[in-house]
Amino acid sequence: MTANSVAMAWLGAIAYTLQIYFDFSGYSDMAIGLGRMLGFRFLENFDYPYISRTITEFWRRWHISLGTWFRDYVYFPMGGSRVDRKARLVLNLMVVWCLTGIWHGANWTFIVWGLIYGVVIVFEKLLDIPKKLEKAPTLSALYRIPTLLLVVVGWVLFRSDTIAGALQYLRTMFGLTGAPLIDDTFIFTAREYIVYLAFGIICSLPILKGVRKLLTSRSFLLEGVNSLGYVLQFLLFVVSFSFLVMNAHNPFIYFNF
Amino acid sequence: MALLFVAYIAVMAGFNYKMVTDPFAKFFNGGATFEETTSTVASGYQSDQLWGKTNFIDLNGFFARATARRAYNGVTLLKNNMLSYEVDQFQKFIDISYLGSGISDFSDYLASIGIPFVYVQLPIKQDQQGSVLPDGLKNYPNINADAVVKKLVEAGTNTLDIRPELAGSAAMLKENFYKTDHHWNADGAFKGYQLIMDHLNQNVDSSIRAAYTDPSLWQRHVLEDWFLGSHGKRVGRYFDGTDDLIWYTPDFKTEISCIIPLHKNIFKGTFKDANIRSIYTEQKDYFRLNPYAIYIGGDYPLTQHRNAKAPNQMRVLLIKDSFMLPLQSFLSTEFTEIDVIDPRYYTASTIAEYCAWNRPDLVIMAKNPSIGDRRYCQFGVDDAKKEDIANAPETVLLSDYDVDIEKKDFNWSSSVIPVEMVPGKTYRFRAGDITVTDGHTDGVSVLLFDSPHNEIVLHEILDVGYCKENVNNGRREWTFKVPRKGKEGALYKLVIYAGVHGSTKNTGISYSDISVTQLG
Repeated sequence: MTANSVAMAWLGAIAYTLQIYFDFSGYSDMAIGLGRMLGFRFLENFDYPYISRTITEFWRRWHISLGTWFRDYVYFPMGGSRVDRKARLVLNLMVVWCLTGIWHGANWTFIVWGLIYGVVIVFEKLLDIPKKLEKAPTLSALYRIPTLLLVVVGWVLFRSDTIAGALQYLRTMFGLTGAPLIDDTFIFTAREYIVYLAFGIICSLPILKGVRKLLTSRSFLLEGVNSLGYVLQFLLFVVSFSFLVMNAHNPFIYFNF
Repeated sequence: MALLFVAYIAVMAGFNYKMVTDPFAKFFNGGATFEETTSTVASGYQSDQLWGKTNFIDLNGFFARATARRAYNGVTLLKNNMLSYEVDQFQKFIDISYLGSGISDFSDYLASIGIPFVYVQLPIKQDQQGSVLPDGLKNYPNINADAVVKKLVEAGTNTLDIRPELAGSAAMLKENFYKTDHHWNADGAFKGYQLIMDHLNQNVDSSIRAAYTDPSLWQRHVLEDWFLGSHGKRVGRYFDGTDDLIWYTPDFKTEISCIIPLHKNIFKGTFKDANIRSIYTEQKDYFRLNPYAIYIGGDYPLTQHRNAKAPNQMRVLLIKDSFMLPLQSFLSTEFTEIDVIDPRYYTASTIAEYCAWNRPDLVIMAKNPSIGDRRYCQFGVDDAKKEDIANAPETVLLSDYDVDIEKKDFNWSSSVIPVEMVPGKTYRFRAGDITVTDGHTDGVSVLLFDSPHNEIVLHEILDVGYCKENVNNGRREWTFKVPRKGKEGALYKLVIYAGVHGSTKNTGISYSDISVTQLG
């Protein structure tokens, strides 16, 4: 993982943030869809995590099944938040997040990643941040920024092979390596993928959910939106298949010169 | 939605059932394991046999364009909406200055044995300023070509750079290049032909005349929406559209042959008979055919043009890349003998050896800037100098030898020349006269044959009609080197065949005054 400019480093981090979400939630949606075809109903595993106000909320929206499992089988048996001392609460939370890190892989990057989330969640819990933000809408909106920033930074650590590699990448992101702000690679790459980036950001927001909510009283329009959605999904499926074909399409460029 | 999904799977499965049944048939016959079988079935979408594959490629290319992609599947869309190579070519500088050194050394060697040499810098589908490249990409192919040309000019090599006239601006690129292919079109190649002939007249030998460079002597043909080029095939028809196929044929009388030893072919007759491959004008298939090969048919190790009535009685060696295909065809109207070597594929000898043995009157090398393949500068010059092959003494092993090969009704109608072929040695075969006594053939084969292994090792085809014209001192000869290391137990024989081996039979040939000399 290397980047030769600050902008390119950020672009890479943001792209990975989107990639891991669509990758993971996509697989989960496949499992949910296939299960439904066979008569099984599985719960949603991702609930638009990137709109979270707090890290606490993020982990209620991201990989819900994992969070639920650790809550039910580690956190609650250890006492959860119903403990006498704050020190015990902190320990319970740090154990859960250490194990969450280990669950993702046998690498120090995952453990550190998990522990960072543990520290922030402890901070939010001890200061009761989620409740305070409910009463302060402006602050709540602003708090989304450091939340999302931490998530993006966390993904850099998650993606790196080593902690040293992650630190180097993060240093580039924050302009601490002397790399230029923008380079040719960034200019070309940003222009090349601007539509995908925009599409990815839009699809990580609950826009369709909001539209459906607005139209609940207008069932005819809602039916139309749903039908259009099905057709678009099918077309997207066919386009996705074309990507499989295209990725294997590498005709020899005869007359190479 | 589930119904749509299931219907799609059913349709794809129905049309591609063989991708499932064939692997499983092999499994049940014991030809593959279950794991191999399921792996083959699962990767069926990668097969060229996938039903509707080209439609998926078209769809994917369309989607890529609709989402504003300019670089896709190894192809870059230039600012002038033409397709070019993948982005990597424009993001990394690769030092190819060794090309300049190698080519100038070769030029010096040829000069030492009295052979003039011209290097032609062909264009690529970017203007030299790089104005059509997407932002963030650099014009490295042209920068590299500039370095090669500079090195050659400094070394005193006769150099012709035709990039300013053919790729000097974005507008010129549209005129002279195919939109979806990496090659120039016939319009660009014709301009190249004009520039080369003018340069030869002005900078090599004023007696070389450009007899046919006036475009009014030629007919320009166009087939619209006919060609999906090399870049286009990677991204489909809807990424950037298709091209018209353009080609030129002369309006003046011609009698030319085009010999392709690799495929044992001799195309003979008019310019069209010899140089145009009509399959590309008769059949349209965007993904399976390459109409750029309308001239000559493809890249071969060696191609030989013979034109007894050409205005310039000269033997020319062209060292080519694929841009040469239309160019060599145009030049075949101007010169009596043109041998065309593609250094990527030619292995019968080094190019320095070829020049020393055959002593062409002129050597022209033309190359486009895309990649710096070392085969374009490793011509065996050092070994040629060390062994002094240009001045190798000749020892006559056979002379005044006559052979009459009678017409026979089976393929192997030939005669063995009674000279031992020693591995590693170089021989020159000459015939005083070659006459077709029975049947018809346009050419005759002279073969180096490994008899224990029943294998033709080297194959030369002589144009019988051209030989009869006694052009270039009646040169009916072939110089070759017997491989030093062949198959174990190889025993080589020099064989003359009645006709073109593998192509004609039922022919009687008479050879007179055959001689074989050993060089060195």
